[in-house]
Amino acid sequence: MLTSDQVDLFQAFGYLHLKQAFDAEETAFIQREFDAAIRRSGVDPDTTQIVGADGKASRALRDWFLTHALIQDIADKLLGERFQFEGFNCGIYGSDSPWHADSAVIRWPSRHIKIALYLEPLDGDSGALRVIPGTNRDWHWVGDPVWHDVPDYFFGLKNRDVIWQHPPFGLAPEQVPHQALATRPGDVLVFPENLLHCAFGTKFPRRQIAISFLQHPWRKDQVGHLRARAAMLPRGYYQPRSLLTHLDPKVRAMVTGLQELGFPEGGPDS
Amino acid sequence: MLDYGPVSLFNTFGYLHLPGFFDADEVDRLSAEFDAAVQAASPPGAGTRTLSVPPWGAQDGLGLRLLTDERVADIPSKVLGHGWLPLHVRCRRLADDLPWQGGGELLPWPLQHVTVAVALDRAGPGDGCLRFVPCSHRNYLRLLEPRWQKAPDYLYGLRNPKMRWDHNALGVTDEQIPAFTTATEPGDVVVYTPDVLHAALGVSEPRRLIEISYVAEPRTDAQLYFLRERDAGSGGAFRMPRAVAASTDPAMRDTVARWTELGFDPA
Repeated sequence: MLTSDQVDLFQAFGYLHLKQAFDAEETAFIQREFDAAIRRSGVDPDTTQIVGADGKASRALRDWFLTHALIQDIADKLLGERFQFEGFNCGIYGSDSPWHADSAVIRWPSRHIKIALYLEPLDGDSGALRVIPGTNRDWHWVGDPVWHDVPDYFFGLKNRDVIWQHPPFGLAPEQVPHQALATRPGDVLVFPENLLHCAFGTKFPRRQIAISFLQHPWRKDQVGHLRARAAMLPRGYYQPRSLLTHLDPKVRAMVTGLQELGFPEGGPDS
Repeated sequence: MLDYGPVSLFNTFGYLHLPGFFDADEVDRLSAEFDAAVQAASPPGAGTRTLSVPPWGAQDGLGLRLLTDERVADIPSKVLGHGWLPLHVRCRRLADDLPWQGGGELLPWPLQHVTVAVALDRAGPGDGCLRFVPCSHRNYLRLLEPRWQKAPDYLYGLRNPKMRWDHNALGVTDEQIPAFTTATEPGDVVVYTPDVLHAALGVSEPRRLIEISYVAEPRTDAQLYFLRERDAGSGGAFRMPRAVAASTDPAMRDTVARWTELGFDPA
């Protein structure tokens, strides 16, 4: 379970690396279920692209994570009561990801986190997640209005469209000072999407599980932002029926917040 | 010479690593002069322990030569702008770890200052190279851009080394603090503001650094008062030595004249 020091560390640097948060047995189960979901989805695991299992195929694994005490505790401690489930993805990354942090242009008015697990051992030379600690500006921006007026020197890195045309700070993207988070299967990474992050040096496809949560939106601007985002996303925001009727009341609470706000039930992994 | 890229990198991250700044011949000469300065100034029995000595001597000596080196002077010119003054030059032998520090603890500097550290020995992440918490130069940014005045600082527990005597801030050890390391080879230069959180951990062998410090020229009474206090508290550390005052280099004579005008006579 997260300690108050870990919560402070997350606030200050924008990420947490929980080493061996899942034991060997759990990790073997996760890897097995992931591969089965990929097989059921008919996805090529040796891809050089970025692909993912379809929602229905990975539903069992999603539910396993959502009922796991550690996952619930992370979201609860970082996003507060009534955090909402945003999405689950079993993805295979066969290529690099450039520096990015959300879109850089649109600021989220709600806090959100991604919990990521990589199923291969990775280091900085083989596609491990690289981050710039302390660039979680928009995370602070949501909770503390004094950040609204503070300048941000990272726009050129956050907006990946800019990087393609202009090397940031006169450096190749790989040379921008960063911390590579070397991980082993069983490790858990937690970060908000608005922390600057990337992955370079892909040598083999890396399997990633990503679970996303939102703080419970209650202000008009937060709800409005989500509605606009739902309209923009091909799959929108939906509340899977299997979660709305889940036996675990904690899991149900992860989806009823958005349901009450009128976001529809259903979706492909319902 | 620095161009726009490294200057914006410095302002963003608070430090800059310039590999191969001095060539091998220059490093040999700097090393010999460093060793001579340390030997001349070392108290009896100093052995190989940590110490810091000023390298002033002959007119063509180490301190004066670095201050008048165009490549070195280009750094404060680009980073601090037109108005800057050299503070001091130090030969520093680091035989112990440098704990996390940066940002003035309780008394932040009211003007920007930077350190140019010339590495004379190899140092890697595991044996005492400088490491930095990126973007943690909050006090420097406040001076650069007043809108930073408002931004809260979540790293106070690291800035004040005394706080870590009895409590590991954020629940992690010094080595676990997320940081960027600057593995250096002899001749590399690392430029940083002492306002950025920095440390050197895992020092096993004494290693040698020449540190040249610069400060933005004081423009307000408060800045001047601060410098006078620091100078008095450090036994005249900000006073240019007579070797500089007697220099034939016009830039050095201007520097001494400016310090004297501000009330800091040569030592």
